[in-house]
Amino acid sequence: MSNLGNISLVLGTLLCIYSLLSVNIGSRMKINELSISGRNAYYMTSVTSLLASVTLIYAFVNNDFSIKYVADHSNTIMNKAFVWVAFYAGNEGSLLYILLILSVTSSLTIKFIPKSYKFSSIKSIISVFSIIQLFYLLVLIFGANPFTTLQNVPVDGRGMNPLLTHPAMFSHPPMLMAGLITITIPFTICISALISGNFTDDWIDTARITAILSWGILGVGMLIGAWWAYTILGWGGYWGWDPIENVALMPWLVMTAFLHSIMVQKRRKMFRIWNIVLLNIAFVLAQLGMFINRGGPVVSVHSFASSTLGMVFLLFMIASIIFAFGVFIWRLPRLKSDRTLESFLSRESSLLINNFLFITVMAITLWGVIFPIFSDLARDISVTVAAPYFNRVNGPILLVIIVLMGIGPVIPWRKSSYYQIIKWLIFPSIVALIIFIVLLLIGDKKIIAMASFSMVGFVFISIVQQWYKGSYSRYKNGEKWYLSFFKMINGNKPRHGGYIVHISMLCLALGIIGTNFYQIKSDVALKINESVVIDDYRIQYDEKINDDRSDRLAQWANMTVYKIDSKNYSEKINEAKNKGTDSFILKKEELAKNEQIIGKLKPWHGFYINFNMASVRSGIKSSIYEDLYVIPRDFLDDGRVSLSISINPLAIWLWISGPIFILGTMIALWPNKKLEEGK
Amino acid sequence: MVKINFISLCLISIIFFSGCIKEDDLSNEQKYHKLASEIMCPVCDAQTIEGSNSQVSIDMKLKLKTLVNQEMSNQEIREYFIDRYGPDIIASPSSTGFNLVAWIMPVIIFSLLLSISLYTIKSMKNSNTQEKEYTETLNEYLKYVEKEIAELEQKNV
Repeated sequence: MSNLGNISLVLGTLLCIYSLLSVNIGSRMKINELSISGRNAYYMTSVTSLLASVTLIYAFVNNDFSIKYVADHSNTIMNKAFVWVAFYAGNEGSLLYILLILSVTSSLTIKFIPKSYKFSSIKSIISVFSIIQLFYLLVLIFGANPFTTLQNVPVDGRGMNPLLTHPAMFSHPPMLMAGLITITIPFTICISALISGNFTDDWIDTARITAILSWGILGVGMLIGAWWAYTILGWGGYWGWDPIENVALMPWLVMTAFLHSIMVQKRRKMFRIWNIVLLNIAFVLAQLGMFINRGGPVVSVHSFASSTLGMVFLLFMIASIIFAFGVFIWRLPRLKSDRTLESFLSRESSLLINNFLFITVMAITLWGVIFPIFSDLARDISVTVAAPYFNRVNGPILLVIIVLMGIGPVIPWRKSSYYQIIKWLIFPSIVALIIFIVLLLIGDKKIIAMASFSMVGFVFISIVQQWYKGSYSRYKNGEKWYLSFFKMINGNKPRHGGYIVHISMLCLALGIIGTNFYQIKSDVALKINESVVIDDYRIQYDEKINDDRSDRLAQWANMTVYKIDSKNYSEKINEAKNKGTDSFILKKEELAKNEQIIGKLKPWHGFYINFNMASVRSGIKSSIYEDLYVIPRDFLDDGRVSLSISINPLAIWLWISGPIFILGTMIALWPNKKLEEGK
Repeated sequence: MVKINFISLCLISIIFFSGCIKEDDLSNEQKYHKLASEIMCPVCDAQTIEGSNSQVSIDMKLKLKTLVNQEMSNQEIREYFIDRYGPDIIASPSSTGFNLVAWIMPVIIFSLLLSISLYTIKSMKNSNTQEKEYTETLNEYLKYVEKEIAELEQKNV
């Protein structure tokens, strides 16, 4: 089996070299057939990388433990559905997966880019793609070969890392990796235009569409990762500002900036140079991500793909900086933005401020990632830069971005007046003020959180107001009221898709504010039949169920959640308060009668022998207000279960944002033509 | 320019305002959890003791709980752990000495990028007004020339 995999990798390498040579020679010698054969050879690389991937997956399905990668990442009792996860669970396989995505998506791009642009730049596009793909192929063949065989074939494999046996793993790593590698596509489209001397705006449509795709995939990938962390890692969090998370976030932020400023180029032919810089930065940051992920100089909880290839990826990153900015500087004298700004109060300048804020968050995050390395090298003292730092420095800027989300879209293009803008903002501001006052009246003392909630309300009302006015004017022009809203959305899909994405960001903000500012946590150990009371929940530990398998020692606790009336326990509550705790334990005889059952929880705890590693599944009871979240820390020898319980207000809004984000992205992407044909 | 300065002043004041907010008034248990998520687990990769189940973390959490219940201030507790495990046990750099750079840099990045973007806006706008002024003077001049020509033509006739 391993031979087939190796052969297809070598074949892919040869095809890449061939297409690189033939498109260049073909265009220089004006032999059209040679150029076309080069292009077809490039298409074939997606077949060879697919063949290599299928070979590896086939080896997993057949438990072919003679291949080292298969023996390291699966075993005979593994659920066969997880073969797909095992495929990219380690360094070698994930590189092969990246190669597969790169070759397939780049081939599709070459196939489908508009003819006008294809004509002028196809040679450069194929060349850049080939070189990048060649890098991954060579790394796979010489540095991290997934088809390396073992001399002594083991009877059973080591099994998969237990943290990866979770449904989110079917989508989180592949989407994240696909998102990062497909940044290559808009970058290549843009840089090829520069190389081939096409200084028109031909490239921006293709670049925008591919950028939205890769940005959307990366965004959803990060969100699913957050959900995975929330349900399995057992620390009650979803985003830890871990270096690996940061290196995925940074290119996403830059791409977000790009998607905003590309609109200015599309509409007003401005920011041309800046947009190229943004794509260059995004591409370089994606390479930084690859480097840090595969043996970079930082510690992270995501060490699934760590390897000794750090140096190789570092060199490739440096090479991509030199290449991207070299081409840019070479062509800079011939790049010109057409028009100049008419007024400070214009959509153009608000988008410029938006770009500035995104780049600032990116730069500060980058600084946080490299500061420990810098400190280590400069003075040999190690420091830790983790979540508290990032929350503190990035939090306020993210809040400003949210505020701008409400103001920016109401400012018209070209120029406007204060009066015009304030007219749009009066109603949202009143609502924001009302939210603030209401929170103050119900006794909230967390000023930042209250201000953040008001801002979320402000932006939401600002969007709804625009939608309302837009559809109302259509209704007045004689359209049916129930159609006017959808027709308005259909009329400018990039814009309204963008608004829907903004709403998803508001949902995300709700979840972040709720969990960051209002979370209540408590650690307890319960005997069977005992209950713990926290907030207005009573959680009763009913029984312990054993779930041992050959590779793990596991149990879960059956628990029932009751809604309580706090009057029944006022004495106990005061007692706990005096002790400085937020929960207390009740024995069976102390319970009040007739409490209503509102749910069941099954927190699960397992210890994996081969990995010397514990893994948990939190018990979660969600409502739109808050999550009751129970992490089983350990099942103690004396029969008690030790639990970390938390109330995570508004946590579910983090996950609600996901489908809304996807919907908005799809609407922004949906081509205009097809709908018109459909009518 | 006054408008621009006003806006940048607002942005900067929001940032500084939020940095100056005091630590919350929390129950001992919440204070304990907050501190636990600021203290790193010495034997894990990039995890705080709050999220870690290693024996060291469990012991450290017990110690932390005792210290919190002894009504020690947050800063005293941080110093207690720094004395025993070194400065990198705290999840964010201290705000003294060289580590101050870690905190100042974001402010520098922010101010620098803000000035660059405001400068860009200003210069893009200026080149526009210059152009406008130029066309306006040109138009005036052309009008004047046309008037002169008309007068001359009248005289000739």
